[in-house]
Amino acid sequence: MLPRSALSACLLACAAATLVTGCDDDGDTAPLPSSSAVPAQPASPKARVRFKGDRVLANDLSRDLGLEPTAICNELGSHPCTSEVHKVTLGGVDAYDRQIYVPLGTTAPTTPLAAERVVLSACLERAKRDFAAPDSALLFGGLVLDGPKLVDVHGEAASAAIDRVYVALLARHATPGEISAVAESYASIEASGDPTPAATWAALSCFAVGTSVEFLFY
Amino acid sequence: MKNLLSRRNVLQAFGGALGAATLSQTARSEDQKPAFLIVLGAAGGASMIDAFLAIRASESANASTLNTFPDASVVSIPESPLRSVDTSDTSIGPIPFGYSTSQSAFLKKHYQDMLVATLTGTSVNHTVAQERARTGNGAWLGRTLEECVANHFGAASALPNVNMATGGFAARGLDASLPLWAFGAPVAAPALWPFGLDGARGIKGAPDLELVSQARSLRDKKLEPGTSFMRAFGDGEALALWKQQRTDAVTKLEGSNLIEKLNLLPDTAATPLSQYGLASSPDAATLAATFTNLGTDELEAQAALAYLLIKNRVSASVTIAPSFSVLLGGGGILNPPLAFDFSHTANRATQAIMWSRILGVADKLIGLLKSAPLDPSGSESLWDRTLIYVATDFGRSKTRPADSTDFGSGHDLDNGVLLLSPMVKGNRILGGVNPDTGLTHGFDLTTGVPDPGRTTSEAEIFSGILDAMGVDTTGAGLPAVTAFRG
Repeated sequence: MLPRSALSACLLACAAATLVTGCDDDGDTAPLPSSSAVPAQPASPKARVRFKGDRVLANDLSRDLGLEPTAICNELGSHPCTSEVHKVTLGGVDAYDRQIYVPLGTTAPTTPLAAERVVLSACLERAKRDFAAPDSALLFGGLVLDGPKLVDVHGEAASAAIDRVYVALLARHATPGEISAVAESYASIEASGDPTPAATWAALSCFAVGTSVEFLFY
Repeated sequence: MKNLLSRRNVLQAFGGALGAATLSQTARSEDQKPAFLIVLGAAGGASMIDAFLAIRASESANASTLNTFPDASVVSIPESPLRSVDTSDTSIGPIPFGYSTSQSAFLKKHYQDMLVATLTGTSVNHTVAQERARTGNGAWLGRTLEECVANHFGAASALPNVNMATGGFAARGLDASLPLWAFGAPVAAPALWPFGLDGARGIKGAPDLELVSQARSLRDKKLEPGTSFMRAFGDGEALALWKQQRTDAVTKLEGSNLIEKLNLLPDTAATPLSQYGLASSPDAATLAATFTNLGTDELEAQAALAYLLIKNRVSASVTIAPSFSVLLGGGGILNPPLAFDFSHTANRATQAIMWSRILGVADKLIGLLKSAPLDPSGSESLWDRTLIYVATDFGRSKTRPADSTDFGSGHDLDNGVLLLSPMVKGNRILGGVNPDTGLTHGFDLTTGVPDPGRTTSEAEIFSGILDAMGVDTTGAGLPAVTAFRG
């Protein structure tokens, strides 16, 4: 018989795992859901979702992309995006400096662009770090490269990288259709003459997923 | 800030600005000239008897205990019924900073565009009173003046209504039937806010904009539509609004290069714009020369941005206001703690300093707007079509300890408002003040003739401003006020 404390710990661990991944009857973690593997999602009758807001957005990007909070986004390199420049636009308050005590009730006309800036900055930083140190890469390791170019974007390595982006940001696996769509986007990037098409593709793949409503709303 | 999102709001947002113009029953006709509203919030309670309705001691039977001034401090000019106060002292109550202010310089320069109307408010709570100063105490379904002006004049603008203020000066109106774009877009940090008007420019290492555009397209057309999340929540109002805002933001904001057109910052080591592929607004140097405290005084930054928003036709209405935070500069206090509300401690000094601050910003804005043509014909300036409404919470109590020049004041419903515009009948006082009590009386709403038998309501001020600007108020049920009209 397990001591009471050990039993509690086990239950807590299972509960925590359930929140993230789901938990099967045996207490083992189940695979992350893939959209193709679950029945079609019915429309929610209320469809109430909320924008993440400044703090959750910053925290999620920091955790999901493995970045220090200070590395996510800084305007002109020195003005923090989520805690200063775009804080109120992203749904935050600024009680001490500007006497803004209540967050916006809805997203503002400028919120989408502010959110895109934050996510793009964070994704660029993640891609930059991963390509600088592929062996310790968080998302974009293992890619087969020919100089700055990606070799076989439809291959296993690229598909796995795309899936890691989905798992990191959305806590679910990418569907085959999503993997294919993201992979296909590489061709136009390379054709554009971008000097580092693989890294750009990586950052923009992250950007496309990270600015989707599935990531930005809950 | 209250925000109400109705199904109708979302439907109207779908139409975009141009489409929504057809939904709005009050949109301006094609042959009506544009007009611009600047609400300059005199936060904390700007007292009109400490400015343009000042009372000379020799005029009052209660001069010793009423907030009157030595005759020499009240400056009139022969051309105008308006008055002004020039005063100085060695301290601001307990704060050992001297000051010397002159309202008369402003009066001499702008009297022809100045209209002072008396007002008796309905609240002495700061937030509530500020809000009522903008809604006429709910005169038109709870709409703010800014929303009315944006709805009428701003349908084709990128951000018809921009609000940089706080508290009741930033509160959203209550009429959920207005299109969403008519409500104020918030700006907290005016100098840095323009960075948020582009999704990618100015980010070091950002890909070519065309590639960013392709990534957006990938997201919008291929990745999002088939997800379980979209199937579950895609029909919800928040996401419908978001998708419309996302589209509008790219076309109207990013597509207009507002990240540079509205950028007040200089390209310096501290703000290295060029290192990030950006440039200052073409007007940045002029604005820096005009607003010399631009980098440290957020009210000046707000005013500079207000000018750029109007000049670039981004907005029809802009709201600015000083904060309640103390600001030092130039060897003195630029903004006392609590702004006008430091009058609780030192009425005379606070009113003098804050009025000087408000009028100084207004003067600079007027100068800039006068120098900018309304259209290529050059026959009119932007100033010819702009109205600055110096809105405030309420007045201050009228009495003082006998002969004191350093006294505190409380909140008082009785006051007046200052309007600055060529669109109003300027060089005029509507109503009057009793020199023995400091209390105001009203005026005939059509002729403007003083009427000691009545007082002026918030709704009447609200209506008079909209009338002067040419906003169609048909069906609003507002009191008919044509006395402001120029």
